[in-house]
Amino acid sequence: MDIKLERVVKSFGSAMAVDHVDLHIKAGEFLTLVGPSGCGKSTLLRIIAGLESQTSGSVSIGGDTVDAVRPSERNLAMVFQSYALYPHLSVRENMMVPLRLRDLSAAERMPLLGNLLPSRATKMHAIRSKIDHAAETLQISHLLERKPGELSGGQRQRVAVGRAMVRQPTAFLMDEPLSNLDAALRVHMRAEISGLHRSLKTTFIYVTHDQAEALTMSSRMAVMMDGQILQVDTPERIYRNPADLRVAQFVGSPRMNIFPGEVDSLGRIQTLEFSLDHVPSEPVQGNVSVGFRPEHLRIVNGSGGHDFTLKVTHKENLGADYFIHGAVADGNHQVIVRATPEEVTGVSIGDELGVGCYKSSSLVFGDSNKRIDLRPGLTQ
Amino acid sequence: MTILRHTRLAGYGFVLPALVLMFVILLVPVLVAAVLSFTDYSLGNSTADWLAWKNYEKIFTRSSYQKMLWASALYVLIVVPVSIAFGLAAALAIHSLRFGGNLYKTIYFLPVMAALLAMAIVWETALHPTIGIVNRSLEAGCGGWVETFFSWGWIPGVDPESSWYASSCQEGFPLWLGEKRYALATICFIGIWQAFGFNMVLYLAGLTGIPRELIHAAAMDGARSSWQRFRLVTWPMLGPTTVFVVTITAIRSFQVFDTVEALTEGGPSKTTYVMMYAIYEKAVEQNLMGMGSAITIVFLMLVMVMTALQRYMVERRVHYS
Repeated sequence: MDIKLERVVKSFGSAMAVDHVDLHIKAGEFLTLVGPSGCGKSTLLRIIAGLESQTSGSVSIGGDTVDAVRPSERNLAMVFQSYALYPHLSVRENMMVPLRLRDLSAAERMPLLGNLLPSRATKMHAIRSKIDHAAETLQISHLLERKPGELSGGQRQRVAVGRAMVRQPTAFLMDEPLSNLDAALRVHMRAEISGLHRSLKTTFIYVTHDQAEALTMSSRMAVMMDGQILQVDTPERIYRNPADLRVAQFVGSPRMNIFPGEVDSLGRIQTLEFSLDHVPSEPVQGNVSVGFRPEHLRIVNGSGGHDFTLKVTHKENLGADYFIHGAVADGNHQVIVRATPEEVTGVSIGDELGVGCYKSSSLVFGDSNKRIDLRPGLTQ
Repeated sequence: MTILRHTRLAGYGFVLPALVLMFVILLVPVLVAAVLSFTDYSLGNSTADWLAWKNYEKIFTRSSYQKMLWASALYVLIVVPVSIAFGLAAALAIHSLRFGGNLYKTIYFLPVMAALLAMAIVWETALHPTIGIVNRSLEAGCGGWVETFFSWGWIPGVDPESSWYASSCQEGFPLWLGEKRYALATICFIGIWQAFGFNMVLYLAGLTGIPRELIHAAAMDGARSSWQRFRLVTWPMLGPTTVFVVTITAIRSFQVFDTVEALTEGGPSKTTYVMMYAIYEKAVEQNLMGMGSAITIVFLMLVMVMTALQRYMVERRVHYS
């Protein structure tokens, strides 16, 4: 079932947490809401869940408007950042809660009386087998009798996922589920959650502030900033083809290098000490921002052939790659260049290096941060 | 070796003042009371006779002391559950408010802050049989719609003439503090009135400690009604608070004294003769230190047993995160 948001607004006083968001989440897709802290992504997720009510706009699930439907009736499952496991219940009991509350009648849930009802026994049997099945999938069968307090962060995370998946919800909502884990486990759980999505084939709506999670896991990602969704697309296209300067800077690590530029009288784009080969498809005037990702810059050895020079301020060793941080000669701009270990042997802090640009990979943004399309220019 | 021995001695030296103070201030008085409880010592006497268990025998056989145990037990059994239930209900209600919570907190907390003795005098005036506001208000309702309503005559099958309100209108309203039927209940009422604000504040603190995400998780898991959310999250998460509230309220209820001393002095016919008042009467007013000490020891034992029982029964089932 598709989930649709139309013109959703959430304001706290005069502050807009969610600012006219339209979003269409297709059945079965893994959609990531990604953005910096405070951009409204969690609020948006909670509006979908029904835990927060929107100021205006509407949410529909499978074509039915659910604005007046309570969270418990929306058939969504949520994994919280803190996992929100019931600390007084064992793992098994935690996972039983959603099934007990939904499948058993009020009489069957009664502490003593319920045990006398024959229908309860059959239902409880079904519930138990569902839990055993989910526990097996998540490899937590050996933890079922423990209390959440006796589990590690990663195990709690699995239990939280398990509690969400014991019933068949329309969608899984995940609110930064990996942010409390250590780095290695986080990378591992990324793959596991993606695998879970592939096997369950249910809609996942995943909130994160980590662009790497969004890039690696999602089938589509929605980049949010200041309460607005700036771009919704596949991770590949968001990375290659950001529609907005803020998207370009947020996605990709290290950040994209941004240089100020301007369009000259011939329509060419000038930046630093060089000009781009491409020209705007539509005529543009005035100031622009020119972006190069670190991998679109290269160290040029020897004199000549470089587009600008930088003074090395920091060498970052990632093993397979180096990131050279430096200041552009004019002293006003910081640059990060990706290089191979071979290219930077002998480079030390304080050195002047020539840098070349893969100019056709540049991304140009005009006023109000909007992307400017380029076309090959006429060589003169 | 010598250095080690020196450090060891130094260690004892450091804990010595604390140990001495603990013995002198906390343990010695209890021991003195325990010893006195086996004698017929009176203040001012140079000697005392050893009575062995006679004082204790009296406590458990004489009717006035049995009444004392009964009055204390009844008081605790009424005040503890009712003041906790009211405290929790008020805390839940205030916690759900968007505005005005602080105003209600202040109002409900007023009886806790006020000196109970002063409040007891206010209650004495209010409950005065002829000029008290309680009985005058009740009398004002006689003969009007208030009497008609509270005589329950409008409920089928109820005879309004035999109802409490109607017969009280005929024969006069009770002497709240002077009649055997009402005295302990009235003392209990004042005790609840005084204690529930304190319990409410403790529960409010407990409620703010419950993560919002847990309540939300319960909603997502299908807890439709607030009762279901209460059963699933709120009540278990308040477990540690409840253990504390029950223990504190029970001990404080056992120690009730001010209201009894100010309002009933243990009467009528010992229906409000609670342990604390008995200790005061025996040891201070009648200078029977031996007897007073014996009651004190029984009192101490009861409180200790009660606390231990609570630890055993409740804490096992309570989750401490």
